[in-house]
Amino acid sequence: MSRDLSRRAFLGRTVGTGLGGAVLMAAPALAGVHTGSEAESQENRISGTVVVVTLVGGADGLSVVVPHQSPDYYRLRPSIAIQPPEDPHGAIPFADAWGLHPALAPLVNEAGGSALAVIAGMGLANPPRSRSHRSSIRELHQRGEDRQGRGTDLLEHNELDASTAWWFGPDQHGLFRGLARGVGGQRPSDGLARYQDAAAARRALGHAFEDSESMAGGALGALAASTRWAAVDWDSTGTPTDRGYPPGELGDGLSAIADMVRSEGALHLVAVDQQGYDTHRNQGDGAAGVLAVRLDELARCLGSFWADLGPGAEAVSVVVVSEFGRTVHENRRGGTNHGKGGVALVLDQAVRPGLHGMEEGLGLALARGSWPVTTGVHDVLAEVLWRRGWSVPEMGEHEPKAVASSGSGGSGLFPASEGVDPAV
Amino acid sequence: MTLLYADLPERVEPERPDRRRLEALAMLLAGAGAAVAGVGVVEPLLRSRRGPDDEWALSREAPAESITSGVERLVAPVSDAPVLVGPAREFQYAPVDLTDEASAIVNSVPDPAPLPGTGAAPRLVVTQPAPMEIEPIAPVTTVPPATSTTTAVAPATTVPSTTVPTTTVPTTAPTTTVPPPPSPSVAMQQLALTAGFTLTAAMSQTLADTGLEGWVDSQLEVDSVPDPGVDDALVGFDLLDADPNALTAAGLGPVALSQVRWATFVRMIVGERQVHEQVSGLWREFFAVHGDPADLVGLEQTIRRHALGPYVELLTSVLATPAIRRAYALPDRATADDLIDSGFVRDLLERFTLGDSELFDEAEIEGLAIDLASSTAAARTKLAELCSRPETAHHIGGAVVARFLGSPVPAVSGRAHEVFASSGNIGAVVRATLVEGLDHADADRTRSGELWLRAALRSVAGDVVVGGEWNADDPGSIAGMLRALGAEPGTGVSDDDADWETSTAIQARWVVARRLVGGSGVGASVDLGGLVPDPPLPAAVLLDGLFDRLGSHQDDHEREALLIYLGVEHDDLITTIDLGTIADLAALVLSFPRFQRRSGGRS
Repeated sequence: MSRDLSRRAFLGRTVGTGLGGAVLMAAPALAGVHTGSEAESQENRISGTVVVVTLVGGADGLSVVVPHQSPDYYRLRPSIAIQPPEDPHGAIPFADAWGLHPALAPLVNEAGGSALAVIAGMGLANPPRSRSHRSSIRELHQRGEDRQGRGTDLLEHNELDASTAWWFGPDQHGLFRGLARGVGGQRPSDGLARYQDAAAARRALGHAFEDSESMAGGALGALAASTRWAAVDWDSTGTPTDRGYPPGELGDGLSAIADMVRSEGALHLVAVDQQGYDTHRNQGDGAAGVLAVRLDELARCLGSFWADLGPGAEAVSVVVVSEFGRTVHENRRGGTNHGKGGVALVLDQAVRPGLHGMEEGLGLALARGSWPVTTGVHDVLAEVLWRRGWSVPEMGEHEPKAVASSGSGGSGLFPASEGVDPAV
Repeated sequence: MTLLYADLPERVEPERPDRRRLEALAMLLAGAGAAVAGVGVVEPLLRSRRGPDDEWALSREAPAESITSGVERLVAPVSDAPVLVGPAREFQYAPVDLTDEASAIVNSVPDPAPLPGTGAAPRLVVTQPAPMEIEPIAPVTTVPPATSTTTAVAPATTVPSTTVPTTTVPTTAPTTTVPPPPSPSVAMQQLALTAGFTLTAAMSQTLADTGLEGWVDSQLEVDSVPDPGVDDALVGFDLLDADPNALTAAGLGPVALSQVRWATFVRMIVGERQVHEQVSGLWREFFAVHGDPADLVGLEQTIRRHALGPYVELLTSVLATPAIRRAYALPDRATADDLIDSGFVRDLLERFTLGDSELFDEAEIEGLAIDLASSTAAARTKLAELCSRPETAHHIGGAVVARFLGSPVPAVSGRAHEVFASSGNIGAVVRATLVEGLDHADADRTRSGELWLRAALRSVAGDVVVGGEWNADDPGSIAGMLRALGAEPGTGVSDDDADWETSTAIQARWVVARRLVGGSGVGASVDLGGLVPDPPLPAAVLLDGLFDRLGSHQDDHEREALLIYLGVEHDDLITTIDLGTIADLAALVLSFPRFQRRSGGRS
């Protein structure tokens, strides 16, 4: 494709967002990112927003989803087990012999029984030997990256502009490398707003960076994001606190995401983290402890987010993951160490609700004091992305796989009609 | 100079109509010839949602940085005048008596919507500002710090200060930048940029006298390098070497940590011991932990003391600091019921020694935890064993190379590994990196956030006032700018060039550049009028002058970009240019690709 054609094609797609001349100037940097009509057709297939919430530290799956009829569970966790539903601080009944941590009540109440799926036994298919947080997060967020740093860039693979993605948090978010190309970190804003003529500043910067080789891509992402988010009507429905979000980075992030979803233009992938799940000590039970505090914040944030979206929730899928689970047995400090199987949550109006990912023989595994990984975390992510029309060729062992289900009467997180055939 | 504040009953957002009243008043006074430094609010002031308590960010007792944040936020869109800064307590507050004319203009702005619960309009007050350049405050021993609870600081203790003094630091290099005889060689340029220096006339002469390797050796003898600029600037910073326990007892940890952070900034700007600074910075980010301020002061002291010595000594000393012990909840006396946290062991192996998470598994982690907990002697032996492993040589040697070169250079890395394996000495590895790197270093590599800010300050700012609270929550302060740039000290700042070329990093520089030239950086005096030649001039000539004043290389492509911003052609005659446009142009130059490189602008 000739250079002129690329420019025309991209300009044609971006005038609606006001990128205009700045992107025209920087169009050579787009080589390999946007390729004309194919890009348009791919983007048209993708709809809605996927929100990825990472519980950093390795969330304890057996406290989130509780096998409250397992004697082994209570034997191995004498002080931190979540008590059965009949206890005042006991688990919330959820599926057969399984319950949810009582702190998740705000989420369960808001999502009801129809939009919440829980995937047990979730984890990395190929975890690092050390199970360190850093390596595990890297594996989770940069799936497929080799030692030269080449990895799967989902945005590029799906031919999406970097301005359709965002991440919240202090660190560069490497989720599938796609977000690493985009601007993020905090509530997005027009970084050029201080200029007397912001549009002219965009044109000037676009011109200056168009031949800057290693920085052209980064500059283009910054220009696109700056333009994309300049017109968002932040807090138009009230401050985060007014809307019921608890104070903190997670609430701030999710409230901003709700504003971004409501704005014009596409937001396809966004990530936000919640810290504090490395509960080596004082993990606590259903009534108190570090984990109850974290899960309470998570549930209130997600519940407020779901309510905040209102009818717009139909276009949003939330997937909550963690880098690994924790040991079945509690340690001497009233906590748990790094383990294997964990848990994922999916909030989506089209999801098959209930408990997924269970396999026969889990009781035996618990008796041995281990909770294996039965569902790859990237399989879960792939299914959610697939449901929103993404092409995900290098995730989940290179093809989306149906997450095994129990209690929902079928296989897979979503009915087949909700996804686009990944082979297309 | 007048600094205006207004008491507002509720939170003020930029889009609220209350702000329009303030803007109108600022413009009125500016039009009447008054120098308007800023318009802001005093209290209840801007609410910051940065913490669970929803604390008010500003108050009459707030530090200067916080007030400046509010001022900058409100005034920047309407004025590019420098924002006056100084400790808030030095202002005298008094109500403003508006003239009839002023009142009429201000009131011509539509009334603000009644705020919940009050419906009150702003009440304006004037503050009498402190001088722009504040002399260092003499150490005070009787005033308890704001964070102190009940314990008064006894005089004549080892912790004599209760505040961070302010002082002024020139941002330009200490000596002339005119290339002197002997003409600097490419190798000199490479060495200077790699080691973190601007190649000045004095440095060129020194390099010629001592030879490049001799100069490196002299840098490694830290105490023998005179550093008068730093010494002068840090007069009154008397807590840098204070005992952390005494700081804690006196409640002076936050003040001391502010001094430590400012001192780091001063050394970055004017220091002559840049090699030691570079390596100290490496370990500061390498061992970055969150913690109590006094503990972090102790960690910094330990790092600076051992930065260029044997790595095993650095590691052993750092792991013994309260900052690390508390961050990892290491037991004072391990027992069978109080084992060392496996999270610590993982970091010890993956971050501090071997560097590869595939070299060990759960069982080895548990075993090492037991070994480390059994006795101090056993722990030291185990650490020494780990430091002698070839994987550690590879990991630590690579970290040093990355610090100076930004990306792996096989020939240099191989030599660094060899030197570490044979000596275990950081200084020797640094020497090998700098000497071997002369033939391989990319002098045009991308600047880190810290180096970019230094270059930007040297290019546009005159003096910088340092001191006061180091408050990274204030986006208008030096600390806040470093945070915005991803270069906040002690947070694990990256040495990887690629991390400074991302969209996030690039946009952050665009934002900070405009903020800086807008005069809203705390203490950074910017003479906008001096940045361009006096018009009328052809546009091309005017822009050449701008590049020259900023010390940036002429670049036709970037000059074209400035013309695009102005909407003029090369030969168009510019007859007048306002300060806002000059600020825009200067910010664009600092934002352009050339300035992102180490050789662009003033280093």
